[in-house]
Amino acid sequence: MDTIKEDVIILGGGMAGLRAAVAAAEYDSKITIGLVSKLYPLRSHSVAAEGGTSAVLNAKDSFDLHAYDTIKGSDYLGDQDAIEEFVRLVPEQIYTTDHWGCPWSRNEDGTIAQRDFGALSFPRAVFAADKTGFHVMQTLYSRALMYPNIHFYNEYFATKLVVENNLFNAITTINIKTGDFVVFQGKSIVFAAGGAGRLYQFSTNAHFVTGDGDGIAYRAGIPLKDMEFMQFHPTGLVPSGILITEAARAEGGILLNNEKKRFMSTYAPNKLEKASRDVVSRAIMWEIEAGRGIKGEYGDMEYVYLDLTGISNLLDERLPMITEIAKKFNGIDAHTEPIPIHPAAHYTMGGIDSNVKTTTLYPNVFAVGENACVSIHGANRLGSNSTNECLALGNVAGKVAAEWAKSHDFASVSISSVNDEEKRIWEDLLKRNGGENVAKIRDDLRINLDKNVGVFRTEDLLQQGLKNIKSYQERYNRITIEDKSSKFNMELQWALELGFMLDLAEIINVGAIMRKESRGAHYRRDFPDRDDKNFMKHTIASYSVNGPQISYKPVVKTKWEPTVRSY
Amino acid sequence: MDEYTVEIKRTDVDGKTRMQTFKVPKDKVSTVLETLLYIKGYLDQTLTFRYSCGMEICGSCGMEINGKPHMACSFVLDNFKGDKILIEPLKHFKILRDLAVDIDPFFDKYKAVKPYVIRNDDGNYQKELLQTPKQFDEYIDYSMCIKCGLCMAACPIEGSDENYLGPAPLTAAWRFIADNRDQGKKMRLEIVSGAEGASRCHFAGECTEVCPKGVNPSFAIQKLRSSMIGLEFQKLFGGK
Amino acid sequence: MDESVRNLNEGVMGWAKFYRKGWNYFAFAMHRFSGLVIVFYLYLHLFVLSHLLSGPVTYNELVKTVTFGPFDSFLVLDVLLALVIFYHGANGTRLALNEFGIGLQKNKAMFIVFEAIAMVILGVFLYYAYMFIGAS
Repeated sequence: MDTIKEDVIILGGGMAGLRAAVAAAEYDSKITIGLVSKLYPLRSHSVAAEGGTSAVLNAKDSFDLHAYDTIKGSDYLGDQDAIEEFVRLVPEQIYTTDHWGCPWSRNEDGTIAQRDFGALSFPRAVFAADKTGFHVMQTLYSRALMYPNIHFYNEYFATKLVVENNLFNAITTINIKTGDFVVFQGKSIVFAAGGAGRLYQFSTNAHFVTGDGDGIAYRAGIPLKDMEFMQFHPTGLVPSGILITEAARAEGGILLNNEKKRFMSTYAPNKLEKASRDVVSRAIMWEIEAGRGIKGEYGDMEYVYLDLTGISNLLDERLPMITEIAKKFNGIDAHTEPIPIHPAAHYTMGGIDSNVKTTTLYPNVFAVGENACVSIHGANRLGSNSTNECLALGNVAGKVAAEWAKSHDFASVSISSVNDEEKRIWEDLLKRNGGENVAKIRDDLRINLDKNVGVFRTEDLLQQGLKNIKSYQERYNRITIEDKSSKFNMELQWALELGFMLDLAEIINVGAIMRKESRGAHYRRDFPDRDDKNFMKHTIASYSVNGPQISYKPVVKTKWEPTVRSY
Repeated sequence: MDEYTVEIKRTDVDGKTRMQTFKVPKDKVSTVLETLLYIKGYLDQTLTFRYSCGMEICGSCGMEINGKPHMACSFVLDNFKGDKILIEPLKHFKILRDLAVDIDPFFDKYKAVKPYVIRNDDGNYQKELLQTPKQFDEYIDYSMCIKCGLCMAACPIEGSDENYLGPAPLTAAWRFIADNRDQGKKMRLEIVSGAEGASRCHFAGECTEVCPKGVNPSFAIQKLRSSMIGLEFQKLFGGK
Repeated sequence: MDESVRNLNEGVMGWAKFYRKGWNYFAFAMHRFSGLVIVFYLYLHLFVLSHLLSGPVTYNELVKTVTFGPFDSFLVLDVLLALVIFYHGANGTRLALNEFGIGLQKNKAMFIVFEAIAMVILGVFLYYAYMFIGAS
C-alpha cells in the first residue's frame, strides 16, 4: 500500500476537474494538487460535448433571461438563487478560456460568435464549431500543464472515500497500470467524476461514464439528489448512439417521420425542433409508438429522421463533426440524406447534493459538474448549460478547495477503513467464484433500464425494473472475475464500476417510483401532469445497508412562479 | 461467412507474446471496438485494451488494424471487405499489456513544446481577444489533434529514434505559433529547432496519411522549418 | 530482446517495412535505399579510378576484368544504377520543393508526376547510352 499526499485532490480529469485544478493552482502556487482520474484527462467524456455553451455576452441579452430560460427548462425544479448566481459567473469563463487559447468560433469583426440552441430565448450559445467540449478540454489540459503544482495521476481508479468525524481524510484507489493499491491523503477533495449515462444501453456517453463519483460519495454517506432525472437526448445516431448535437436542430435541421412529414408542430407548436430536450425526446417516442417510426437497416430499433439537407450549406463550417460522423459510421452524406436518430440517455441531472458554492454534506468535500446536483438543471438540463457549469463552478470549486487546504492540516488516515477496502477488493471481490459474468450482468442492467426506466415510465414498469435490479444485485454477489492478474486488470475495474452502477440504478428506480408526477425528463404515463403542490421538491437519497433512504428538500424560489411549461 | 476471424497479438504481464484467434458473430458487432468489447465481455475476460468515447474524439483506442494504425472505434466493419481482422498494439510505444501501450512518453513530448498560449497578461479577462475568421483559419486545422498517437506509430523516424519529438507534438507547437493570441513563437521555435526537433523529419508523410482527424502534421512541420530558417536569418543579420 | 521494447524501437529495419504502408512511405524508404546505393557507388567509383595512380596498365587490366567478363554484368548494374539515381534525383527535387512549401498539399501526385518524368528521361538516356556503346 502506497500513500500519496496532496493538499487538494481532484477526482476526475474532465472539464470540471481540470478547471478546478487550474483554479486551485492559480489560487496559491504553494498548494499541491493531485488530479486523480481513471482515464487520461483528454480521454474524459467532456471532449464529446458538441454544440455550445450558453453565456450572456450580448448587450441585448440579459442574465435574467438566461436564468429564466434555465428555470423554465428545469421545469421549475432548479434552485432559482443558484441559477441567478451561476449565470453571472459564466461570461468571465468564456473570456478566460479565450485568453488561454480556446478557438471559439468568430464573427467577421473578430468577436466571439453565438448561435441559437434548444429552448433559448436569445441566441447565446458560444461555440467552437461542433467540437466545443473538445476544444475547451484541449485548452484546459494545456493550461494545466503550465502549473508545476498540478500533478496528474492518470489511470487511478478510485474506490472509496475515507471519512472520519464528518471530515474526509483520504481516498483509496487502484493504480490500473501496476495494480497497486494507492491511498491519496488530502486536505480537501473535489468530486468531478461525471455522470452515469452508461447505465443505459442506448447512450451518447463514453463507455466509462459509469457514475463512480456518485457511487463513491453515496457509499460514504453523502446524499444524492434528484437521481431519477436522466436526460434523454433526442438525437442519438442509430445504431451506435453517438451524439448528434442539438445545434443541428438549432441551425435549422428538421425531424421527419416515416411519411417524411415534419411532426414537431403537433408537440411544440412555437419552438418546433428547438423545444427543450425532454419535449423533443417524448415527441419522437410518441411518433414511433404511433407507428410512424422507421424500421430498417439497423436491427430492431425504430427511429426517425433528422433532415439536414435544408442547411447543407452550413454543415461544413458549423457542423463539421456530425457530418463526418454520419459519413464515417453510417456511410450517410448529411448534405443529401437524412440521418437516423433515436432518443439516447445523455445527462444525469442528479448527483451529489451540492450548491452553487459546490459544498456538500462534509465541509472538505466539494462537488462540481455532472457529478454534482446544484441544482441548476432541475428536472431537465437546457442544451448548452453543462459545459458552462463545468467552467463556472469548476472555478469556484477549485478556489474553495484550495482555500480549505490552505487553512487546514492533514488529518490522519483512518487505517482500518483503508484496510477494509483493500480486503474488500482483493480478498472478497477478486476471489468471488459464483460463475456470473460481469459483462452479462451489466448488459442486462442496461437493457433493463432502457426498457423500464426510460423516456416513459409507469408504476408497473418501474416495479418490474426494481425487481430486476434486485436480482442483478443478488447475481453480483456471485460474480467470477476471470482475470486474476494485478497489472491492467480491466475486468476488476468493470466489476467495481458495476457495483456502483447497481447502487445508482436502484436509487434512480426508487426515486422514480416515489415521484408520482411528470416533470421534465421524468415522465409518468400514469401521472402525466406536473404536481407542484406535492412534488416541487428535490429527492434526496441517502445510503443505508438496506438500500436508499428517500427524503425530500424544498426548491428555492426567488422571482419566477411556476407556470405551465410549453414550447 | 457470418463470423469474423479476429487475430490479436497479445502480450501478457510478463512480456510474453502470442497470437490468439477469436470468432465473433457478425450481427453482434459493427466496429472493431465493439468486437473487442464483445471478446472481453464474453469470450476472454483477460483481453486488455483502452477505449472510451466510441466516437473518435477521445483518442484512446489507437491500434494497428490489419497492419495500419487506426482508431478501433471508427473502423467500421461494414466498409471492410473480408472476414479476417488482425489487431496488434500501436508501434513505437512500449507495450504494457495486450493492446494497451505506455502513452506517457508521448504526453511528455507534447508537454515539452509548451502547448499553451504564452502571453503577458494581468489575468484580467473582461473582453475577448479579437481574432478575425482569417486569423482563425490559420491554426484551426492543427487544433483538431486528439492525441491518439497514431502518427507516432506511423512515423518511420519515431521507429528508429524514440527521442524525436514526433508529428503530433510538433503540430501542437505550430498550432500555437500560428495563433495570433500567442506570443511565445521564439521560445517554441528554440525548442523545436533542437537536434530532436523538426529537422529530424524526412517527410515520409505517413502521419498525414493515418491521422483520423484530417490534421496535416507533415505540413505543420514544414511550416515550422521555414519559420526556423526565418529566425536563423534574422539572427544572422543582427535582428532580435 | 523483450517484445515490448522491440515494439518501441523498430530500428532501421523498420524503414524497410513499406509493404504495408502508403505511397509516401514507399517514397521515403526508397529514397533512403537509393541514397545508400549512390554513396556505395561513389566509393566504388573512386576505388576504380584510384588505380590510375599506379599507371595505365593496371587500370586497363582492372577495367577489362570487370567490364568484359563472360557476360556483361556491369552493364546491367549500370542500368540499375541509372534507375536509382534518376529515382533519387526526382524525389529529391520534389522534397526540395516541398521544403519551400511548394506542392505540399499535393505531394503524392507530385511524387508520381516527378517519377514519371524521371523515368521518361531515363529511357531517353538509356537509348542514347545504348547508341553510344553500339557505336564504339
